[in-house]
Amino acid sequence: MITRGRNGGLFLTALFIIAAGFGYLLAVQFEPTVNKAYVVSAQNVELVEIMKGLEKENDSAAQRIVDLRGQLGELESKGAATSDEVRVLTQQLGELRAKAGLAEATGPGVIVTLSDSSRTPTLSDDPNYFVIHDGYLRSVVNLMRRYGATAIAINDQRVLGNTPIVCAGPIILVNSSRMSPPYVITALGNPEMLADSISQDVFFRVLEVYRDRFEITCSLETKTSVTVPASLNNAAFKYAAGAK
Amino acid sequence: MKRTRQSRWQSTILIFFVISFFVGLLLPGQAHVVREMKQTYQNQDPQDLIRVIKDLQQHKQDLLVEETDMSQKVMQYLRSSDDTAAQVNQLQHEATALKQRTGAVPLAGPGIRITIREQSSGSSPSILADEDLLLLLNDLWASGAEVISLNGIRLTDSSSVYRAGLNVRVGEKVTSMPLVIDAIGDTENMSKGLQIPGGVLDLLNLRRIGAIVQKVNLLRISN
Repeated sequence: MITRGRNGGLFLTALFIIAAGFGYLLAVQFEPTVNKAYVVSAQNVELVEIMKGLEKENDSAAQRIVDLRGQLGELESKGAATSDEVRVLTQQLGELRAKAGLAEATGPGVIVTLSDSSRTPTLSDDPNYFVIHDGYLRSVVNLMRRYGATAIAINDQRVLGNTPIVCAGPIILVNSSRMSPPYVITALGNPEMLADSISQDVFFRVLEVYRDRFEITCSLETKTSVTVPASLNNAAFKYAAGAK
Repeated sequence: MKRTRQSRWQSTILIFFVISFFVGLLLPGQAHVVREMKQTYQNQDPQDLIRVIKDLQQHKQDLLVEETDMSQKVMQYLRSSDDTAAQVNQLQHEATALKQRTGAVPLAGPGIRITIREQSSGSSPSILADEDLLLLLNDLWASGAEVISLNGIRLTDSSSVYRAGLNVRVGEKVTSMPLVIDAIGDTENMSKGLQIPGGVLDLLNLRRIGAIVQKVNLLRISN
């Protein structure tokens, strides 16, 4: 009886120490994270407001550009009816605008969809394998060009040769627009040829391994009709000029 | 007495079990909340948000240029509705800009030249990977490049760039190392953009791939 009482007391003391230690460790583990999240949140409220305000302004500017382009197109059509020279030039201009990515494009093509894993990485996992990186998007775009894509878009943004795909921490920007997963990469071109070539490429196969192992989304589908939006960039160069 | 102590002991064990169970139950929830908090934009690193804001400000300027240009074209067209010569002039002017953009004419301007040399022989060769090259080109576009050529081959909207053995394929053309990248554009910004600590040049240097950046007053890139 005495033995059990002593053992019980020792057990409870040990239990108290373990529980207190566990509680202490928990507090140490979570307090800085929670506090940091809270403090950063307070710091960032203003930055997020500025960011959203700029996005709103840019969206409005983008809509005005679309409207003005539509207005100009109508005026050019009217002008084309007045003279053969204007008609021929207007037609040439339409082709050049399409080639420069300044017009919406529709046709058969493929869609590659990438998205972060829905599975939470465990402590032994490298979390880098669970998210889609900007480099993946650059590589997929490069693959699409390699296998004959004539026009490419990521989500609602047209991707031209000079379109940077950058990241700011976990945020991916295309044409300065914040992209949210899923990243839908659309390419115009021969669907069968694009799909066959992309699916057999080493890079895409690596992504499929990540899909199977880390549960990221990686899919490739052929489409009879896809549409990519026009670029809203200005065609004129600021530094480069025609050389003789 | 014995039964009472045994019962107390059992109660202690039961309470301990219940507490442990709830702690175990709450822990993943707590971790989830913390993870969710970190994922919202308001909990991003302020440096990342500042980078996004700077990018958006630049984009605002770019959109303003296009909007102003479009407004002027609409106004000019309205003014010259009966003037065929003026319309032709306006159309030709835009066609010239578009031909420059699409790579139909040679271009010249200030820029930077980057010469990249790899060590493809020896016991531990250092090879420029596709991803390195794509990152370098991406950083150039992001920091103000307007036109880029690789060993004289101009990049267009449809150009893919990748390694083919020890060679580099640029679209349908093949070139070899060393790689001379000419970029016409904002010289200062491009130079700074490439040389930021931890940037692409640091990455190449760490992998023993030599990259030399030179500012050039007048680069010429053919079509």
